[in-house]
Amino acid sequence: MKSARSILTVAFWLLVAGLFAADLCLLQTYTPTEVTMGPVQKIFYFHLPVAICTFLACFITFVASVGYLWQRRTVFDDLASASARVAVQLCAVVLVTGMAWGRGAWGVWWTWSPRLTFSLILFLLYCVYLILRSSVEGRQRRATVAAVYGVIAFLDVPLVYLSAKLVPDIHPASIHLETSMQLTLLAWAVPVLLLTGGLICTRFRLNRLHSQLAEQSETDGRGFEVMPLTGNVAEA
Amino acid sequence: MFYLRFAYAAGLLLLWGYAAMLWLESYRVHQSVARRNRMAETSGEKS
Repeated sequence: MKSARSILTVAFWLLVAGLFAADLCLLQTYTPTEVTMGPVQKIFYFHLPVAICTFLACFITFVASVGYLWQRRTVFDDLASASARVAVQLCAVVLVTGMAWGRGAWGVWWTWSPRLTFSLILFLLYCVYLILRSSVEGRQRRATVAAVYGVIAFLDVPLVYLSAKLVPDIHPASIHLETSMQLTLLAWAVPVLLLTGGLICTRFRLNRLHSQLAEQSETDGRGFEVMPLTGNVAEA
Repeated sequence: MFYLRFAYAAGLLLLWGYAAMLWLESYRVHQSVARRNRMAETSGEKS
């Protein structure tokens, strides 16, 4: 049973890696180059799906935080923590790809436009979420503080989305795409979504394991220490 | 073209680097759990 699960996990990650490789080939051979912006426009096919997945990860953190405040079950806290970590990672990718786009298209790495500013704030808010988790003592207290913060931090997500639509912004609010461009976007959305799901699930399983071990250690009084990378741990 | 390559390389490196870090941590935690279980079994046998 356990080995079947391991095989499925490896198959899943290989599939995601294969899809990414296929999409890179698609980008080189099939996707047309946009006339006005040139090759730099192709960053969009990676940038947009990652941005959508960032919102999704933030939303999962929000829902799990509400769930924890409502039911006080550690499973919600573990899920909120897992998706927040992935959200930080995804948001970093959105910022990096967006900056490269900005340099290529507008000639600057960064400009304080509403969407860019709110995106940076989103990244910082979730970084603070992680710092907050590591600085609060006591499992229940940490979970409660993080859940309240997780709900508040999510308020920035609608601001990021609406900023380019409601306020004049250098960042495009919507882009018209040809059919081949739409297909490329869809092809990139699949592995990015799978990767996001895979990362959240892996982190969530790790968090569950840590929580269960912490609970066990509290009941049987034996501590738990994660092995260092060398594996040369003296048997106690 | 440089900015296009830079964006994809940096983005994919960030995502897959994080995935690799997670696998490594997962491996270490599972090894530690196995060690903990072995120690629990050994101490149970001795008593």
